[in-house]
Amino acid sequence: MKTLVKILISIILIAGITATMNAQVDNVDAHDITITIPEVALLDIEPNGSTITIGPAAPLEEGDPIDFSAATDNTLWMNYSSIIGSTTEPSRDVTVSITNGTLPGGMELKVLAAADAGSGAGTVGTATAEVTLSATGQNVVTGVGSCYTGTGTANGHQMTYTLILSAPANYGDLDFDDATTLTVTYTLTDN
Amino acid sequence: MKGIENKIRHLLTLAMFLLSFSTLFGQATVTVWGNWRQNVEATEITNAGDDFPNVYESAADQSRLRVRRQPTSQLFPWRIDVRGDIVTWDNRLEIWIRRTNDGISITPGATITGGMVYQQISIFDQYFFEGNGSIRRIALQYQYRGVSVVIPAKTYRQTIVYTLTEL
Repeated sequence: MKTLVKILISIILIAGITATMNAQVDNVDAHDITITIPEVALLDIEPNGSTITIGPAAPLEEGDPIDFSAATDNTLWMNYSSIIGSTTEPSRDVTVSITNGTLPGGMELKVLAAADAGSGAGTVGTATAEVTLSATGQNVVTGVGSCYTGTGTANGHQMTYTLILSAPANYGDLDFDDATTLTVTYTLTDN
Repeated sequence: MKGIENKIRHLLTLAMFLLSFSTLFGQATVTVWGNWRQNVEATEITNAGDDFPNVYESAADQSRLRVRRQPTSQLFPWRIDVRGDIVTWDNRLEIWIRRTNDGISITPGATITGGMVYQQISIFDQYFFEGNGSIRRIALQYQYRGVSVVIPAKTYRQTIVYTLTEL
């Protein structure tokens, strides 16, 4: 008889606990949400499609050389948007080269990128020292990470072109028939 | 001897009542359907120097949630909390959530309040909305905020966890 009573009491306790548990129960369900951010590498020179003209000034006095002091232009700006892959492409560089045309004899064309104007965000690139343009690509900005510079002039890197006499000894190479149009190409390259 | 029999009878009656009670009133459950996958396209940047749109929004009924307890004829007060369990994430990204409808009542007279304004999901449980009775097809909408090119190219994922508490 005592055993039966014990069993009944156990049943009552279990039922009581179950009923109490059902009075306040936490229940959980879940699902995933996902966003995929793609690789981006876009570069532009602004104003778009601009052609700049640089040349030395004729001398004012007989016997003077032509004057290269004003043979400069800083009207162009480089904008870019970039997303790197932290493991596959940790950074990018911007290279510059002459891809069409030949520089007139006796002259050098140089380009210098200024520091980013700060209109965008992220890891913008660092400008290198002035580059003497050639047909071989050279870094003009390095260490571009995931960033954007803002678009249009006054955003990104201001580019200053300077035309100089390559050396006084090369003055004899100057030829006004050499006036030409060059295409300068900027490339955002993966590292 | 008769006294003992009466005691046993009373104990049996009490046991049956409690067992019936526990069986009759089942556990309230929350069930949610519908993942959200947003692929940001590189072509969304049309000008070099631009950023992605900052906000991406899901469909108004991207996920649907049901709160139910047997018997479904009975009203019972409840609350839903929400949190995000990080799988892969960047802290510059934010997830926001809101409820976009009142669902369909299973229990006559069921009610639902709160959660109609976007709120940011954090890694901690926080109040989302509450109600009374069983309701199905409660529509949920999400936003990603802070999307930018400054965030490395990658797939980011969180598990959104809904916790139902009977009040």
